[in-house]
Amino acid sequence: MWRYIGYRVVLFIPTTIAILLIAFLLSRQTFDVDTAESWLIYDGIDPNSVEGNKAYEREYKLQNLNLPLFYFSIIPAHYHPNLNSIIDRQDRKILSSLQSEGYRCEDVLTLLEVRKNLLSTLNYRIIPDSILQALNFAESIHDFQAISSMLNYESEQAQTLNGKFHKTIQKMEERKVHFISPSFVWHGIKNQWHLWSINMLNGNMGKSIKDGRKVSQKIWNAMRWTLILLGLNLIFTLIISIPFGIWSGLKTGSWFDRLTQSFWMMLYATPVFWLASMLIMYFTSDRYGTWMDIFPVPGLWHTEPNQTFWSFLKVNSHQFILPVICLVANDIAFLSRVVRNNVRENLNKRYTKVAAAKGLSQTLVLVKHVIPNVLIPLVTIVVAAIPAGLSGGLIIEVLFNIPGVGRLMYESIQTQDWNVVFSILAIISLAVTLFLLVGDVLYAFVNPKVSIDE
Amino acid sequence: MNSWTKIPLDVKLAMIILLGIFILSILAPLLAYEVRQDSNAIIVPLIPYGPNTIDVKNQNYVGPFEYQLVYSGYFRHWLGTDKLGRDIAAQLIHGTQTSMIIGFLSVLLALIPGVLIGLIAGFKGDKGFMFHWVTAILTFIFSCTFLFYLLYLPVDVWVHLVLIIAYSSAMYFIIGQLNTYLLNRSYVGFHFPFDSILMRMVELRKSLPAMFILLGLLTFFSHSGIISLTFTIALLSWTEFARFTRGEVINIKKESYIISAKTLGFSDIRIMMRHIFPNIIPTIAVVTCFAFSGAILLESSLSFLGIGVPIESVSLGMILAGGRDLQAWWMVVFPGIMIFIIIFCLNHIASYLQES
Repeated sequence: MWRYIGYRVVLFIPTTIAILLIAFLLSRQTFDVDTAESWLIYDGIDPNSVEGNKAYEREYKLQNLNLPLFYFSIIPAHYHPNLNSIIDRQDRKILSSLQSEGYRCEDVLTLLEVRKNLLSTLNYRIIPDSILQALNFAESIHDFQAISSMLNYESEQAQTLNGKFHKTIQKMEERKVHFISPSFVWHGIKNQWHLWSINMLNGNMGKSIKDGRKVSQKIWNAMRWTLILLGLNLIFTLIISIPFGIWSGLKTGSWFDRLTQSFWMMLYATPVFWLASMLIMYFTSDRYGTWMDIFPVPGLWHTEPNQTFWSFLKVNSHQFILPVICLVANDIAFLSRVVRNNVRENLNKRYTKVAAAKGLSQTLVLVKHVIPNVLIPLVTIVVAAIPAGLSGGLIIEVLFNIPGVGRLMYESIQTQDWNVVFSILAIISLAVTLFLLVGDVLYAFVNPKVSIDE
Repeated sequence: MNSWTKIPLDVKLAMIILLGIFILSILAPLLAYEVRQDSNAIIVPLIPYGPNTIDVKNQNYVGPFEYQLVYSGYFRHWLGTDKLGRDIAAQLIHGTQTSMIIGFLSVLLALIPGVLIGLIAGFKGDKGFMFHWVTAILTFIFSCTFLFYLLYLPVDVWVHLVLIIAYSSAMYFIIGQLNTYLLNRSYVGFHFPFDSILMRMVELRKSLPAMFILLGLLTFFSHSGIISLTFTIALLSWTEFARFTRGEVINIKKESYIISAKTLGFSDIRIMMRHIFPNIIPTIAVVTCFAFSGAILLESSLSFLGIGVPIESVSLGMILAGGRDLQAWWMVVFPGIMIFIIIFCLNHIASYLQES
């Protein structure tokens, strides 16, 4: 048993890393939007102004965007070892496009420096404004060549300034790489993935771009609602499905068994969102008859000043009736079927027959022998139902306006609040795997027979 | 497998209904397209409206039983209209088609790799692939260099594909030959834990809440479409195929006919394809049914949330979402019944197959 528990705990480590890696990779590729830039816009600073450039640099470094992505990188030998360390957006773009065309990164960096000098010394008195603008926005090597040849037809001052520029471009062309060879660059632990995952595990997930609040605070506030919903869902599912399952298992093949099983199967096939929509439509207003106005209107939360979370919950507890009905309806089928089959199996086992032969009454056999053996395996099944419950919970939270994690995720995707989205993705997956681990360990305590091979 | 006469009536009924819905979705463009009210066409569709035809006279949610401003009974909106005056019946048929396409494609995309990986993992187990340490190092170095050039060589996608196929087949032969040669000379090798790796992936997938992962993965694509949705659903469901196939293969592997086939010296591929694969088809059929209904459920949930399919195409979930706020019951009831029937029939057939 201890070996089994140790095995499970050790396996938790690679799972954690895999989950964090998935969330990290997704979070890095979504940003064709420059996060540093969108933060400037959120703060009300124009990213193209002089002040904006400084603020951009600060924000860029604050978010660790200047660090390499991973511990190491395997890149062509003529590439810049860490493209992210170039803070100027224009320069980064030029460097990445030119080095992919085969120009050496040292040469491109010299070119960028010469370009910067040219931009600071050239002005509209020496050359026409159009060339200056072209130099400002030039990106490809052809642009630079064209500007260089154009400068040769301008004033003498421009021609002398052009000399170095022209030479740099020529040297670049000469030293162009024709065969790419790989090189291995080691970056050490100062990289984005390392810092991101450490921050994530420490609960330090940055700020939300929507309202500037801490992401961890937001997720924790939302998580309470989701946990309450999930807990209510599991409790009511168990309360309903266990008695029905046991009764069906005792009377397998009877009309009761067939009726309930087919009814649960029908509920199982009903999409959660459809059931919820129907219930909201027909049973929350008197549109279709006064007697049908049974349940409260969804999303109509009673708020009072200085309310604590629990008192808020107490006042609004009736808001949970419909969501829990929708979630429970979907889960009963599976659980009651498991209970039914387990009861049927256990009734045919020898120990039950021995107990009956001993003279125990049927109820005693059931209560003392069969039910414990049926309920113990339920630990793992109930825990394994958590991911599905959370998935259903997402739709229910959106539909019934419950401020849980699912709704937060949905809204954050709509507003492109990526910090929140990927933090939720990582946190909720980690939480579920942790739950499953705890379930497995508990089961190992209850049933020491389990082994690694299962 | 039972013959047709032995199948119980309810399963037969489910199969027939499902077949009907299949035909309906295949014939969707013929059953519902726009017909002008003054046209003299001889062949007319069942529903004279396309899914995006806007009937200006019947805008703002006209119900099926309400008074409709139409030319004749033939042009009546039998299932009502939505806010823009589009016919719900036409949308329903075309939405079923979208659901079926996504369900079918995602199951196909998940089934092929899932079953293959499950077969190999179940048959070979953890000790099926033995590597000499020299070949292991060589494989690692070659793969890394290959991946590097694949990433950084500025060539076309098709060249990439050809390169991948050529390289992997060359690797398979050369490294494979070298491996057997080296292993025959000395037994210094280690096992590649294929089965364990698969089981870790299955476990990881099982412990992740599908909706959250799906929403996260869909951000990978710059714009939502049927293809991206299909890929993500397939990415989430291939592990189910692999898991069940593996379990079934492990059971069948112990049968005496497999052992005798091995004794006769048949190759592994022949045993897998000729002797094991036909026997796991019933299991695959069950998983396929469940995966199909799961894919349709996921697709309609996502389009209900307004995330899955693009706004131009029609989907059952989208119709449902449109009617929810203003309580147009015909936009909620009919698409819901359609989804319910599809999923219920699939589940019913699957559970029948499971028991038999």
